[in-house]
Amino acid sequence: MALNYLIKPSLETKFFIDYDWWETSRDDLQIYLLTHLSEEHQKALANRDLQDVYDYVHPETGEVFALDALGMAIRESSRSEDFISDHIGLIDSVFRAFLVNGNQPLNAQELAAVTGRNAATILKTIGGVHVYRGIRPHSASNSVEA
Amino acid sequence: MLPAQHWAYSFSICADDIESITNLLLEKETPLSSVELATAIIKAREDQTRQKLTEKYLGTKIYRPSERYEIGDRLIFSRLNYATAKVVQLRNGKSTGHCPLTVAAVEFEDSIGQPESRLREFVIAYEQDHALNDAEANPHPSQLRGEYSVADILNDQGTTIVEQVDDALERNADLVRLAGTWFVRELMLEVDIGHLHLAEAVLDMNEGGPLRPEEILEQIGGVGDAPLPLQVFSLNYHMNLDERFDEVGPAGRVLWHLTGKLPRLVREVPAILEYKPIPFDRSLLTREMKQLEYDLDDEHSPVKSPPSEEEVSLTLIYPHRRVGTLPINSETKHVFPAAKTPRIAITMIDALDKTEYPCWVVHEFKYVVGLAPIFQKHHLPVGAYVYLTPTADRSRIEIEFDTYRPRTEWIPVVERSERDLLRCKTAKRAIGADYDEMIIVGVTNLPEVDQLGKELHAKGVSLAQALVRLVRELSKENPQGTVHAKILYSTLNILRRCPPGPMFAALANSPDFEDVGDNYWKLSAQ
Repeated sequence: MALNYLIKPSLETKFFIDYDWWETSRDDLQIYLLTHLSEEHQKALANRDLQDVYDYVHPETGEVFALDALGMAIRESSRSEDFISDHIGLIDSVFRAFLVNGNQPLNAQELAAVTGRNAATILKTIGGVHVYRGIRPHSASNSVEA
Repeated sequence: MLPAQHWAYSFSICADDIESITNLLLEKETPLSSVELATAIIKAREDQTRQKLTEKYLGTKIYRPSERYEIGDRLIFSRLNYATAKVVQLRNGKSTGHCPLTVAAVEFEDSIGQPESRLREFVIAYEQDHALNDAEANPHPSQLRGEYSVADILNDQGTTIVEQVDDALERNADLVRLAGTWFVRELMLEVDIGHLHLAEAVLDMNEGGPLRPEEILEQIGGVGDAPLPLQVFSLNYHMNLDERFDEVGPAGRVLWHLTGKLPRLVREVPAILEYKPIPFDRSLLTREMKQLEYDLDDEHSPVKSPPSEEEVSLTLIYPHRRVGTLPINSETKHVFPAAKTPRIAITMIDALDKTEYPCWVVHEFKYVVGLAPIFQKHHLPVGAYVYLTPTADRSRIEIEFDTYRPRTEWIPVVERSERDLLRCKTAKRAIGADYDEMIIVGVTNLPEVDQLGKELHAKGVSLAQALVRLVRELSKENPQGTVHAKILYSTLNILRRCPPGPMFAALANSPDFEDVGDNYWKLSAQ
């Protein structure tokens, strides 16, 4: 895992959601994930047992993965066209981009294409010393040594 | 799509390939080009690849979520690089909605066909929409057609199949290559001395040539009943071994000429164009001098120019105008055809009246010869601008000048003086084309001037000494006593062939000369 203060991320540097970061964070991942659900999915989730495991069908490959109720709700919400829009903050928008793509590493330019935000602004925000919502540079991506 | 053409990037020719193309040559009984042979190899490899894939996918079903499968079925997953897997378990799935879900656990095969340890699960009999349900977008591999052609593989910069075929066949003593085609040595037709005598007679009757081998064969009645390409190949092979014949075609085309009837200027450089390299220190050349050297683009200057897609132009200097040649300089070399043979027969076409002139490209001597009639026809002066335009056929080149109805003009002319020097004056001459005012020069009494050049050479007059005499003569009418390097270059080449580089070095290196800027020179005051 690359450390933020040792590298200077560039527009080519890939980022991802580091779920380990959430382990030590004061924020609660589950509560934060709930904020990404639509009203409809929040209501549906209220009627489910959060411990239940469901079969999630990958929309491209047909492969089946086990997901808990919250994971399923997130996946279902992410299919909505306005899941990533201008009406949410930049950090939330980037976070949702990773929810949609299964947390595949993306660089600022790729994130800009998905979110419709400016690549330089994205890099300035998530490439700084402060880590927002666990979004960090991916250790395997290219970074310039500072 | 299947990455079937990927084999082409790592292609390495093997003994089986050589054997198969040798068999092809035997079977067809006709010479084939490297490209044709490479094409045969590519098709064979494609067939092998297709055969392997057919075996791999035999009895398999393409995975589509909407379809139902049973335990034991072998499935292909297009989104997983056409990996194959066997259905080993079925179970009911759990969805958040009300629709039922059936899940198949599959066991993938590794690269050697062994089952992988980890099972993966896929939805089957799925009632909802899914991208993989579309049979057209997700067909069985047996229905796939490559989105590339043999030509795509041959033209791909990443492949070297043709080069490898050439290299491998070069090492095969049983095969012979001629004009880009290959054939089996033992199966060549017998061309005896009688055939070659007849070929010589045919060429002789046609002023020595050039003639295509097909034309020669037609006139000598062929060399057997074999297909014409094999007759041509065999005749070419034997004519190539006989010194009476010279192959003069551009790359990829064979033309024969009698060696003894080649024009003199094709076989030897005339004295007026002969340049014996003069050693000099290039570091003496200023940027200004190098720029002028580039502009003059003498064929003996170390100048490089990128290929031009349009016409190229040059300025005719005295030696070329006198002999009827064009220089093969950094620009014109991209216009004239190349070949492995030292002499290439070409046709120059007068763009004005479309008259054709047989000419010769002699790369070794850095000139194209045969243009005297066209220079004379248009009353071209020394310094005339010449424009060359390539055509689709590399052996046919259009030539053009800024011609006008010949008119009498005052131009600088030189003659031999009583003191064995060049004397410069102005005289009237009939001029028929636009020219460079600093290159134009006329010569009075050519034999005397030629003799002067020879005498200076025999006396061992150095380049600097010759330049002192020329600068003095050429600057005498100028109030500042200066002369431009271009005029000096043009006049110097009347006496001896010399590119600008050594001339500049001699000027810069001698205390006799003073550089007054803008490529103007004068004699030093001392």
